[in-house]
Amino acid sequence: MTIVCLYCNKPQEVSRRAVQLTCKHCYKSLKVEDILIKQYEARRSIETCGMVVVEKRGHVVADRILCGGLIVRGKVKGAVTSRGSVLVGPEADLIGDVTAPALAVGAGAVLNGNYQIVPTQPE
Amino acid sequence: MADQNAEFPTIIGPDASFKGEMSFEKGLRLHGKFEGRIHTPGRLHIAKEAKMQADVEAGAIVIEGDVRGNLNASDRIELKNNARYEGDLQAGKLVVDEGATLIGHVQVGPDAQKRSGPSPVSANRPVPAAAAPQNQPNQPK
Repeated sequence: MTIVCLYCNKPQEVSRRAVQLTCKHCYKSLKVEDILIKQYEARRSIETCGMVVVEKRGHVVADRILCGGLIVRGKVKGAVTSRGSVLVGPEADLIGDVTAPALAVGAGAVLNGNYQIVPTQPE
Repeated sequence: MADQNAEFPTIIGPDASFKGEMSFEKGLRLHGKFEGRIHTPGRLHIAKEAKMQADVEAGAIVIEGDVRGNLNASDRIELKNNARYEGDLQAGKLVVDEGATLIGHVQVGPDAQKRSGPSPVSANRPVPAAAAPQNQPNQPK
């Protein structure tokens, strides 16, 4: 499968079973796995090329979240930069700045922050 | 067609441009250009070819065109797939179709109308900083 480096934005082929690798362009360490959050977690940053999923009872407080996609069913507080869509479920909270190509918001969700939702241009 | 006219009795056509302040009861469909302020309890529909630079307070807003300015909707704001919006928005509900562009500060939720603080951090607190009394009587000493 092809992933795009979170830092240099260059694509590369990786094994479907890969969990973590070093970018062959910028040599930064990249996580490829999805991150599932089911409880309260306070972290400096969450960085993965995969999806970040915050379950209904999950609560994330992070300085920054850099991810391939984000699904929020619980609460998130932090600056989000996502390469893929950000989905905010019903009754979920997303507090912080968001940069993403697409946004979907469920009924009753609470959003607060500076949003940059700009669709990626096809190359 | 008759239904659309009933829902949007006011229409600003594609060759019209309006500058100033406008208020109406039911609904407005904008196809042309608008600059200024809009105040309505009803619906505002900004069509694909429309361009608007305005501060709006409305019941519901649907955007298909190009909009700049601050929007405040008591019910909902919908950004359709060709919409391009820059500004700060406050709404009870937000619907963003795939392909829409949104740049600005967003406050969405049942309490979005009550919140006044511009900072996301202050709005996250249980009691907004602006509304919090200086010395809270029920705080443990």
